[in-house]
Amino acid sequence: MAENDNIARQAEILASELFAEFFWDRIGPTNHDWPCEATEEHGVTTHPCDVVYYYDEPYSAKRTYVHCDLKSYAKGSIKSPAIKSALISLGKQTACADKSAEWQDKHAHDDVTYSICGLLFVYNHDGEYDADFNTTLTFVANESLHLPKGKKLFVLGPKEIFWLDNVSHEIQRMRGKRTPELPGPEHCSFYHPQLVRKANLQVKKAKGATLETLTSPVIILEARDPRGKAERKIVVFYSRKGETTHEFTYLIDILRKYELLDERTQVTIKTLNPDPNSSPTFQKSQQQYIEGLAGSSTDLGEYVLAIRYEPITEIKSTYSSIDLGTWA
Amino acid sequence: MNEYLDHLSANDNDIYDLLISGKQRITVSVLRELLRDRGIFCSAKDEREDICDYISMIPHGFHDIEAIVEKREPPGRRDKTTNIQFDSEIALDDIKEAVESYMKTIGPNEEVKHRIGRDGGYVIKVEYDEFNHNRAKLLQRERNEAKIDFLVENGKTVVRLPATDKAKRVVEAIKECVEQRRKAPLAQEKVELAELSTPELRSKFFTSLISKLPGFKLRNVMNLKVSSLRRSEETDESLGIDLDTAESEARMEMFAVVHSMALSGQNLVQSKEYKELSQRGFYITHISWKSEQIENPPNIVQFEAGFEDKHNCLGFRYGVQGEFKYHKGSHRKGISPVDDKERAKYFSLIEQTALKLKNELLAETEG
Repeated sequence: MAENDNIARQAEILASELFAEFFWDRIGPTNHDWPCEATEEHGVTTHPCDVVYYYDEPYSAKRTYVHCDLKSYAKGSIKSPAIKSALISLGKQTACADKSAEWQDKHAHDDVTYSICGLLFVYNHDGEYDADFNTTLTFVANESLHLPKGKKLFVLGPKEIFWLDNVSHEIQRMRGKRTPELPGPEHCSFYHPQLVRKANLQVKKAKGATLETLTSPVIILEARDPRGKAERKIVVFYSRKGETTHEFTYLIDILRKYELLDERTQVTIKTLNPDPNSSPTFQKSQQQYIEGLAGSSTDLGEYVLAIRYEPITEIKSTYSSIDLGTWA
Repeated sequence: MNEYLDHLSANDNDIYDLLISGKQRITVSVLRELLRDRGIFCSAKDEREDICDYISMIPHGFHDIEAIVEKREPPGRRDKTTNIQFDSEIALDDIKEAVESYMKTIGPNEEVKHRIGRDGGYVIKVEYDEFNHNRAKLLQRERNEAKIDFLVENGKTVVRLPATDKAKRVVEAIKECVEQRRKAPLAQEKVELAELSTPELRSKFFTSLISKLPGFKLRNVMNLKVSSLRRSEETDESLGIDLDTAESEARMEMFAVVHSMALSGQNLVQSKEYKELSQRGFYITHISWKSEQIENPPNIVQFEAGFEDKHNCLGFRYGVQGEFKYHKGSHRKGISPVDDKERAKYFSLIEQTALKLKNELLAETEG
């Protein structure tokens, strides 16, 4: 699938800006072809590579390399066969990358244990995001991707990119205020809680948001005090609408379980285009939660009441008005 | 631990338990679908356990857990219905008084609403919390609703209720209140086959029920369950295992026989296999079937009926699983829910037919 250079560049700029905010690093050359290691099975002699990013995993002592296929399309022009063939091709690429010395020479560090996953990054460059995009994924059977055991492919569609781009934009906006609401990136990291069945092994090293976090409804940014005080700020980006008290009490309760509700932590929850009643609904959830704890005059009750709820007000449109063409 | 907190959110361990223990419904393809909804594709070679492990460690919100819970237990699931028939008309005032005195006895987690029904009966709605310990920790506390209908007609009072312990307890309490008020016990009529001592008669109850439902003609038998009279006689554990195997084989044989009867319309009693099964002590305890309405529109309705206590054939309960609507000369492929009014009509048909059949079969035994 030959892509127009312009489109590739446009997608690349967007992806690079976006992932930098989530502490992903780029490694190796962009837009190059490398030899296929299973030419008979894959039916090609070379594979394309748009760009490779990496980040460290919190729950295993591993680094993840994200082999990306960046796509741009005009609204309504995308069809499920195109998505399917892009995914099948990406599946082959990621399977081959495991075996290819050339890929590893270009994109992997020598002294780390790693795994390689694939990312299909699809944004539409005109107008609002295309709500129908995600239904095209339902027609792709896992079997058709021929992925080796344990290997995964991720898809960030227009809706997800719109969300993530706004999260990144909001972080920049909070940093850039006259009285900054967030310190510089060196004092920030994305939060991966200690789990019951798995420990966060690399609390300091794994500061980036993993693909699992980026595809989830809850992204948590932790900002330490630049002057070295024990205080910290937590910003919870919540992608859902905030329509019911259930979803907010759920969110409050996981913050408690993640040990983010205490005296030295200021917690803010941010939503994008939420339900018009989400603010009163959030307040109601705080009250209900405290009542459930048998009384409001407890320390935990105070921490719950101190959680701020702020829908994102400055919404950024990801899309350029120039039609860059579509893919075949 | 504070019970309130225990059920508000799920940690990774709760989610893992929820997924791994729901083997029947949370299949590998359901797990893949859960991931695909997030834009994640895993290898087709990944084992079920690996995918459960992976899903449990990714971040979840309320809707994600709700989606998993729904996959484990589809929302369309309805409790089966049962009924109690009293041999006299209970005055609506008596029912109302009884409900009001019942309401004085209930706890804070229970809420009762009651009113005179649109068709002249009396309707009681009971909402209550129940802990279901068969389920994963997160799902244990459930808000349940029991709708209890009192229908007073033709010198009788029919109480229609969900076949749950709670609903039965509520009806029992209300019955006691009514009896106290009337200062006389209420005579009850139940669909029970304990007195039918032969497997043939017990099975005949079901085969007649499915073929004699007024206004319907039998189209197909979807499933059935059997039990054996030998089971109550022999309690030896080793025999129990043999019986389980024998029972599951007998179920398949019985299903084949009854199924072909339904399709061909031939008389079951003449079938050699059926006679043999009956001789071995096997009888039907539960059946689900499809019948077509004779009047227009000829919708096909899927029913089920069976006994809670299958060894003694006590606790008759039934349900309407849905219908296949007739549309432009053929039936729709997908099953759709039946509206409440139609459902009440079908329930009444099953109740009346079942009671009539029970009385006929009892007369046959005595005769």
